[in-house]
Amino acid sequence: MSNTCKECIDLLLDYVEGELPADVRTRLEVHMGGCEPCDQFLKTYKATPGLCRKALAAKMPDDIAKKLTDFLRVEMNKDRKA
Amino acid sequence: MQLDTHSGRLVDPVVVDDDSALLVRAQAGDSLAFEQLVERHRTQVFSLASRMLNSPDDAAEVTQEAFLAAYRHLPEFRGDSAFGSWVYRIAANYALMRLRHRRVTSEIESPLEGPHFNDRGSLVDSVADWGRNAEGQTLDAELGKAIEQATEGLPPEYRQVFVLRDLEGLSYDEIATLTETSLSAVKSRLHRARLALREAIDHFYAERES
Repeated sequence: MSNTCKECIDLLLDYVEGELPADVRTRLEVHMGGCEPCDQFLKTYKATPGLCRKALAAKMPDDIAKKLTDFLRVEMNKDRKA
Repeated sequence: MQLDTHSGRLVDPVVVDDDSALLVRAQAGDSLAFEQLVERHRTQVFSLASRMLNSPDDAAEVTQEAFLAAYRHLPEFRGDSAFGSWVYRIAANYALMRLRHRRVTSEIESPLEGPHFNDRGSLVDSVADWGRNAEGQTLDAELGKAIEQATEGLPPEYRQVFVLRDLEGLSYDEIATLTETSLSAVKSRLHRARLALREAIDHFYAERES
């Protein structure tokens, strides 16, 4: 029996991780092969984590970096004296 | 040999590139070596905390707490994992503790966006064609902002799983342990978070094209 789009999209995480049983994977691929929206959806689903990684690569502001260093120096000093 | 600008010592550049050499010195009480380890990993630790907590101030405090805990537990660190991974996990734990505390007092969660289907389970949305070359492209600043907003809008339990898996690369088992949830809950949350973020990106491209 053929999958619906919804059933396929529910399985995408396990599909991209290669964790689907062979028969389920085959059914999904048959659906994807004949369904342009799902094929497009899969491509965009796969691309999402990479785009997010690029967008969310946070830099540590210099003032916070300095505060961290100052804080650790004080605490390390306290520990040495204790 | 080259001059280590932090310690003022002559050091082998190959050894400097390896955390384990610094770690040995830090474990022997060399605080400058520990500071170098902090310098190497602070951005990633801060990034993890700020993505999980949605607050630069809280993230800065968690970063401090994590490195201080690492310093105090240095003698017990046996190097079973990399130093960076170890501090990461400490920071993730502190961030999760804060999130649990916050949840007691606040948070109205908005429903997660996802794809829309008709009664027969078929996709009704058209999907913009942005997936093919996304990896190789330089990120558009406006898209970056849209992704940031969408990530901030995720409910905390979804955001934390997404951050730990897709941004930080932890395994499902590690995330389940850290978040004290089942493996299936971790995967379900990750999937829904990805769907919501994919939806936000798709919406961004659709708006741009219209």
